[in-house]
Amino acid sequence: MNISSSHMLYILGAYALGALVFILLTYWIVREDRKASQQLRQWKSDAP
Amino acid sequence: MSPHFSHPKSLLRWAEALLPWMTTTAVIFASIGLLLGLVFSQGDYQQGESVRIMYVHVPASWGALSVYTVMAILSGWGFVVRAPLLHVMTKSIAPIGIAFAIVSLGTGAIWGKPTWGAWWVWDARLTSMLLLLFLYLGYWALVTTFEEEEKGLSAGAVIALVGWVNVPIIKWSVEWWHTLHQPASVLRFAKPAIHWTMLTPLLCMAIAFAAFGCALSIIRLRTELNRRKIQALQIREWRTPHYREAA
Repeated sequence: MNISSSHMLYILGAYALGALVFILLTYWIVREDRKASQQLRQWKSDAP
Repeated sequence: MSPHFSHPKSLLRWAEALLPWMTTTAVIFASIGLLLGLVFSQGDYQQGESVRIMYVHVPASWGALSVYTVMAILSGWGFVVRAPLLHVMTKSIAPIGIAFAIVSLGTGAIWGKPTWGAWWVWDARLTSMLLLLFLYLGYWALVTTFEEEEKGLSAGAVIALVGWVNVPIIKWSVEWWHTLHQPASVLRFAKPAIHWTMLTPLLCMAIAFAAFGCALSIIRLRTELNRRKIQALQIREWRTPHYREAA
């Protein structure tokens, strides 16, 4: 495999963009899920 | 046992059982796909090594189109059977479709530069894909800004249904118009036009993206259902006499 440096940069850029978007999406989804679960637990424990 | 789409508990229990399987599938297939695509596959005779961008660009594009199609089906089904849970499911998966559309457009621009000499051209495929991202964002704006959530979900469902007309336009834009974008190589009536050494990592990555999307959809659905439970509890508490007296 002989990849020119400019092509390597484009390939790395594309994969880095994909990874960044998916990491941010996963972080946001997991954070919102934890927040909602915690709030629900709180409501249930406070309920008379 | 199949899930009952009018009972959130039954649906969530069924979906949560799938979560570890989906996550494992995504990790295994992404590892195989990345190894085959970045290390073992050959470059293209015309595009050279930049063709490796295909292994992230194409699955993301398929993901964006598939998620929107599922949203349109759920929205239509939700209107027919009048099950609010189906509209909640539509809202749950929308951010995943938005992410797929952003990755598709972003990696497409990066792939376009070494291949066409331009980051962006206003051709039919690229423009219709950008329109899909705007439809996603329009849907999200509608379902999140209405004060009364049910109204927002219904308005968003209309966008999801009407906007679906753009999906076949994206698919066949490369056949109907003269575009810079290459025609379909895999999803076409004739047999795939790419070599198996490229097709194998591409399909592995597509399976990984699909499983990843499903795993995130399950977590999103749980979040939305928990939020609705909290809202119901808040309303119930507000209606109790002791709360109103204290207020």
